[in-house]
Formats: sequence, structure tokens, C-alpha cells
Amino acid sequence: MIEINAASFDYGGRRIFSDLELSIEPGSFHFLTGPSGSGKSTFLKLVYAALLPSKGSVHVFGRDTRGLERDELAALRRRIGIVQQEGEFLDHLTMSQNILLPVQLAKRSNSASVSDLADLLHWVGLADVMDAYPSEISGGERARAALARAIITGPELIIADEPTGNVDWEMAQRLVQLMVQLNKMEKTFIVATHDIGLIRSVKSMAKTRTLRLKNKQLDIAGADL
Amino acid sequence: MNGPAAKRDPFIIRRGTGRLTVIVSLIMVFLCVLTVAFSSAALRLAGQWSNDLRQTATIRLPFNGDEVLSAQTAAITTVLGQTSGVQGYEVLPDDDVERVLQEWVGERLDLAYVPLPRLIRIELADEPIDIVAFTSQLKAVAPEAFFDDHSRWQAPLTRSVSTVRLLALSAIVLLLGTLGMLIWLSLQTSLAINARVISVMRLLGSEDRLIEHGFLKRYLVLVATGSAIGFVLGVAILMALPKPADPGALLSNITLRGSDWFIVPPVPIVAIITAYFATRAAVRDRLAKEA
Repeated sequence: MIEINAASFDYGGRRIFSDLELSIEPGSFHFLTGPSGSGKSTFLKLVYAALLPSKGSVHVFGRDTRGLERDELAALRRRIGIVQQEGEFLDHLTMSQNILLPVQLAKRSNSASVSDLADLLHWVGLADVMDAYPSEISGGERARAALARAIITGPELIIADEPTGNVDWEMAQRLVQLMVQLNKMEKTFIVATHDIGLIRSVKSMAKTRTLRLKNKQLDIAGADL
Repeated sequence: MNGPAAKRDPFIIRRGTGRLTVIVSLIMVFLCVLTVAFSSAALRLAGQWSNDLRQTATIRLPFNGDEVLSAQTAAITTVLGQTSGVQGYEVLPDDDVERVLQEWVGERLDLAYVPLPRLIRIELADEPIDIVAFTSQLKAVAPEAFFDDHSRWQAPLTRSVSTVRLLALSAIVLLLGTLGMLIWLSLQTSLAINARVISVMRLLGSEDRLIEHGFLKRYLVLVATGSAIGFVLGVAILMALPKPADPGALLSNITLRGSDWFIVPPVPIVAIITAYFATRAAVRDRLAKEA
């Protein structure tokens, strides 16, 4: 699903990564850890082609991200569910409208998705906030809503950047369970986090692999995780 | 579920920006309609004058003594009566000649001491007059007579008609160009306000043409609304203008007649087409810069 070959990335004249090598299989669950500023978010952006490698290549769904036209990039993004730490919601839309936005952009029938949305919101425990605006809900609700929006079109790959960054332990556990359930449905996950508790919780329920970004290199984490 | 979850356009068009776009479209289309009406009125008037000139001619006979003048006048009228292509003629009385001359020389010159020429106004028939034969006969009976077929007056009039047409077209092009530029400027504001919306949409896999379509839909509705109001307002004002008594005056011609009704209705459509291209260009430009 994802092949990274000798990929380096420079930003502002500074090398962030050097010669990264990675292969991610469909249905797998990967955590990405590393100290603050190690480039976890940058790495994720390379995967969903918001950034391009300075050297080497990143192949996603068999396509080299460097050669994508704008429409091809859009098509690639529609196969990926992206969960960002702040949710990236549009403040003038209700939560249900925000969550349905990918359906609208994928030009699918909106009416068909309304029932999916009801089920989905119920599943993530957000049935009560569907008419609320992003500013009116809590951090935990935003995190679950971001996950709901990421999965509503049934993407093959889900990329999450610190999904439990702004939520309490109980909410984090609910998110963990949601992610594990989705992974059991063959969804591939790459989750950037520095939350060891999250990693351990998922590890106890699903087969995962943990990658560590350190000193511009990507390593497979040891048994300490 | 249907209400809140119903599909909603994610773009933000501020009320002020929307109103400004409607008002600008309204003004531009209104001015275009007036421009068409004014230029049509000027062209109609020019056409009327041209027609008058084409259907008449003048013979000028210099004063060379009362007896000679009377004899030559009689001889010329005889020739006119026998010339085919002449529908009628009128020897202008001295008072009328004085009035015509007064307009040229002004009030300060007393024409009582000026030897007045004789003017004969000829009405031409549809069949053309044989100018060579006629002037030859004219020279035979009155060598100093001058036949003026008004062609030298028609030439500048024809040039004026072309100029009016060009000016009207230039004014309409400038007005529509201004509309396009103002829409472009309005879009720069809207695109800046929607920068985050565009960024989120792209993150979620939106194609650029979907974003372009969203702005086009919004802006074309605004421009169509303004254009329709401007069109109705322009036409209503033109139709309500009081008609002066003199049918030959410019103001009495400022209205929509005949072919004007084929020229004016496309004005709002052209404004919408202009808005379409301006919107598309502005959005594409911004999306390409932020790719």
C-alpha cells in the first residue's frame, strides 16, 4: 500500500529525514512515535502527498506522489481518511455537515449517506451533537468527529496525527476501541502519537508495529513499547 | 436528520461582498442599457438627417441684379420642371434665405445691406437624377448657379455615425471590462476568506473543478440578480422618459425602438458571461498559486 524508498526531506535548508525506507501492507496498524519536532506530522504529510520528498520516492496505492496531477492527488486523498489533531472543521457548518463534507466532495448521493451518518454518529457516540457547531463541542467530541469524518467514505488508509492529543483517558480509550474495530475491518492505520498509553492499549487488542523517528531516521521500536 | 445534515455549500460569501457584486452588476448593466439607448437615439437622428439630405438638393444663384436674378430663376425652374428625378422644388423667399444666412454670419451683421443669393430647394424623387445633363442645362441658363446635391454634408454625417457606433461599443466594452475587473477584485477577498475552506476541501480530496464550480455558482447567481435588476431598471427608466414635442430632437429619440429590442436583452447575458470568465480566471489563478 505504501512504499517509501530512500526518501529524504529538507525544509528551510535543514534535513528533516534522510534515506527513509518503509513498506506498509494493507490492513496493518502502524504507530509513529518520536520526540517533539522529530517530524512525525511531516512524515504523515509525505504519505498523503501534502509534501513531496526532496530525494527518493513515496509510493501510495502504487502511485509515485511526485508525479501526481492535481486531480490525481484529489483522487488519492479520497482513498485516505486524515485525522488531524485540531480536527480542521469548518466553523460555519454543523458537525453533521462537516462530517458529510467528504461525501459531498466524492460526489456521492447525499441522501444515501444520511442514514450512514446517523449510524456512524451513534457508533462514535456523537448523536447528540450533530446539530452543534465545532466551537460548541468538547475536545473529545472533536476527536471522535474527526475520526467519523475520516472514515465516512470508507477509505482504505487512515492517517491520524495525535488523535488523543486533546482528550482525557476515558475518551482516548473510546477512540482506541473505534480504531481497533476499524482495523479489524481491514482498514490500514498510521497513527502519529507520543501517547505511550494509547500504543499499549491498541497493542493489547490488535497486531501493531511501532515506528520511531529519531535522528532523521526511521526505526522499528523495540519491546519497550 | 434531513435539515441539519442536508448538503450545504461550504463556501463563505460575506453579505457585504455579495451585495457589492449585485450592486456593481446592477450599475454596469444599467449603464450599458442607457448607452445602447443613447447611441441608438444618436444613430436614429443621424439617419433621419442623412435621409433628409439624401432626398433634397439645393441650387444657389448669386445676386447679380434683380432682373437677371428673376430671369435666371424662371429659366432654372423651367429646367427643373423638365428634369426627371425632380419631384418638386421651392424658391425660398428672401426672409427664409436671410434666416439661413443669419445662422451662419450671426446677429451683428445687418443683412439688409447684403445682396442675397437665391436658394432653390429641390425635392428628389426615388429615380436618380442625371447630374451631368442637369448641371449642363443649368450652366446654359445660369452660368453662375451652383448645384449642391448635399453629398459633401452627408460624408461627415456618415463619419459621425461610425464614430457614435464605435464610442457606444467602446463604452459597453469598458463597462463590461470594469464589471469583470470588479468581480475579480471581489473574488480576491472571497478567496482569501475561503482560504481555510479550500485547504480543508483539498485535504478531504476535493477536485479543483468542484471548488471552481462552487464559486461560479455563487457569483453567477449574484451577477444574474444584479444584471436582471439593472436591465429592468434601465428599460423602465427609458420607457418612462417624457417625450419632448420636437420629434427631431435628440432627447425625443432616447427610448428603445425596433432593433434596440434585439440589442438590449443580450446585455445582461453578456454581463453574466463576463462574470463567468472573470470568476473562473480568478479561482483558477488562486488554486494554481496554492497548489
